[in-house]
Amino acid sequence: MELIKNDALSLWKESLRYVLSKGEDYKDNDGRVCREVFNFVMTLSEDATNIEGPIDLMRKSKIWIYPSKEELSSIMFKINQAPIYEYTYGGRIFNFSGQFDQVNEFIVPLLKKDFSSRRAVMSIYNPLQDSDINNRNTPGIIYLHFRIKENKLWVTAHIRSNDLFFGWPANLYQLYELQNSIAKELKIEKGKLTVISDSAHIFLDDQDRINEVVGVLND
Amino acid sequence: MHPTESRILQLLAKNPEREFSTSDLVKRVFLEEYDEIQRYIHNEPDDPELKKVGKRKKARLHRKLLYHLNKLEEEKILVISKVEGKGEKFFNLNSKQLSEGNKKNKEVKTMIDSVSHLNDTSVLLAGIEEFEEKKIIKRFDEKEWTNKINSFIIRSNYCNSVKDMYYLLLDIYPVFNDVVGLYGFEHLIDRESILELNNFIKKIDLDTKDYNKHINLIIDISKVQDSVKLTDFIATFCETNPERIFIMFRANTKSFNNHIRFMRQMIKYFSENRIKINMQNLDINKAPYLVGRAGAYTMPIGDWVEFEDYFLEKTVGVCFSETSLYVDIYRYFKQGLPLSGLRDFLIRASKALLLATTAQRKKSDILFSNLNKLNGKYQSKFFLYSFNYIRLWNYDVDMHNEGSQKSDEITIEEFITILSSIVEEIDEFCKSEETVFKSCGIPIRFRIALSSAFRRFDKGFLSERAYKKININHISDFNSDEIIKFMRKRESLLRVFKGGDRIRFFRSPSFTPDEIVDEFVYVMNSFNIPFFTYDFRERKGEVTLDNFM
Repeated sequence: MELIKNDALSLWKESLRYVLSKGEDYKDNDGRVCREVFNFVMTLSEDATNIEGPIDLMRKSKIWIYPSKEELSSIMFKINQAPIYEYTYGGRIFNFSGQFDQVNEFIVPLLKKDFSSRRAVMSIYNPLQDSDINNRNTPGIIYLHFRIKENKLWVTAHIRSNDLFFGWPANLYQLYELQNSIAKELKIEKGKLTVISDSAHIFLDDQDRINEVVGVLND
Repeated sequence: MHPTESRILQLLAKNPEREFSTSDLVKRVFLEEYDEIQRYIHNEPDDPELKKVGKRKKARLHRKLLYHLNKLEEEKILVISKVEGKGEKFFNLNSKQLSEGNKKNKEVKTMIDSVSHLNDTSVLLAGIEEFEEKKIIKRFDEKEWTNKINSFIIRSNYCNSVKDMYYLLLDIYPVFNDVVGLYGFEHLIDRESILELNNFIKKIDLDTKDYNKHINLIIDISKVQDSVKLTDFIATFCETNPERIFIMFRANTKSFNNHIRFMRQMIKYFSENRIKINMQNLDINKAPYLVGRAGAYTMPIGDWVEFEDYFLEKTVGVCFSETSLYVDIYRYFKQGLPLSGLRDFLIRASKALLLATTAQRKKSDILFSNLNKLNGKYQSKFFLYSFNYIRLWNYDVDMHNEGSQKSDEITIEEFITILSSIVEEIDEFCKSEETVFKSCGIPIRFRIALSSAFRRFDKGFLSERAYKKININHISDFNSDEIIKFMRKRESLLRVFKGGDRIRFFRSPSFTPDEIVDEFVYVMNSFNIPFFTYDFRERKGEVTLDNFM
């Protein structure tokens, strides 16, 4: 199943609706009922708009506190990982395993050298650290694949476990910011941004809140 | 330090999460000069000569800035975080390097810390300002609220000697604002001479007074190899009678009974010197207890067992508490606020704690660099089990009702039931915030525990005590209706106070150590109380020996 939209808010709305209506229920380890769709694909087309819309909506809530755009962006771009976090995307991207800047030492030089390369893969998941049965905090985004098509930077991100309600607005914003930054480096336009979610899910105890948000989105 | 460098560093310290490009820095560091240049470049008649002058001035300003940036980078105070476009550099503070103790770094660190402190006095209590104004809620250690963590333990076997431990403590005093527990201190007692131990206690006695911090020596009776030496240590400890160093004894009933002789001696020394005895019953809870200025700290047994199994020997210790708030329940009701509003108020306080930890997180690589160095690659595990505290003061609503102030006429039992349901809601809030943040790629631990407050942390702020203290004359007192009722009430509260609580008994002066030993055994066997304190200070001017106001 693939949904394609140019408006981030609409894409989010459609995705939530799809999972609500077509997903299958199961109970997770914490006893929460989870409704999920396997291998769900969401694509934001190249003329993307309203990227911050879903975050702005989430931050309006009086029930929960949603991370600020500043913190979300900092998590994606800050090289030095704060010790309180088990991992950060920035640390994995710019300082993988404490020794490798995947953007500036690999992705950018590779795509500058070879526009048609299919090797520009950035790994976020680190098996040496994450493949530990006692580690419950492992990254949701597993890898990113950067490709240049029609002189635009296309990005595909693979998310192993994607909380569509709480996580997706942040994930999309972070991926979009990264796409933007690398496209600038390559001096090309942004292309499509595709997110493949192995498990695109929502928790049913959030259903009222989701209905509320979807309701808002319906306006 | 050159004023330009100072301005650069202040700017970076105020925004530790941001990377600044040279263009950004030029604008912000040379605010006035930059404005002037802009006037040249965008001059009204659009004079090309003026434009040229502006551009020349701008280039000069860039060169000036770059000179200082390069200097700071060469000194490893700054790092280049990325290079974009036509080679424009972005800068960040080099927190790793700043933890190295040379003179320049210390100067820079002091300056950065002072900037961070200024930031933190800003209001983070969004939504509960009105309660703060009414003196119902207060931040523990307002100035350092998000700059320091409250409490943690370090394992004593991390150090080979008390000398090493002393230097380790010197390194970590700036990191905490309440208490550090030296877990397994019996390890150092077994290794060191009484003279060395005595010197150590005297030195940290002075330091803890200077820094207004507490140290707990956590001693597991069952793990002591030489109880004669332990007795000698206790004797010298009591002679020194340090003000801010507490010994926390840990024992189960079996190990307690196996060390009766030591217990007798210890009780004799402590009571003669009017030093409180802190006793943890390991049959009920194995997670260590700490006692500081703010109150007692502990962690849930499940968390402790997991930490002990997987990380105890990999980290230098573990954090118990990050930030704390105090709530004066008596004053809440005294101001005429309704019981029905308490839930909303405590949830708002929980949200304030979330914002506080967010602020703390952003700076944690700089603030806790000393600890991070000690924990190496396991540094995130150090924070994995920590809580944030909401400490309640004067919450015995029975006593409010006896006085002039009515607390909606509820009993303490009803109040505990309400608190219990509020705790459930706070737990839900924490859990859902963890989910929200984790879903967003920010894997945080965020937990809140309720506990009781010690008045000594801020006598000027907290209202006068409006609850009963309990006095013990004889072991038979534990069978009195009043004390049984009191103990059951405290047992119920312990289910709500997940952050730990201390039950203090004032012991009237005439006793033999054997009587106290019997009382300890009785308490340990009869009540579901994991941690209690015997206080031997004489209570003056009180006629009866049972209850005190």
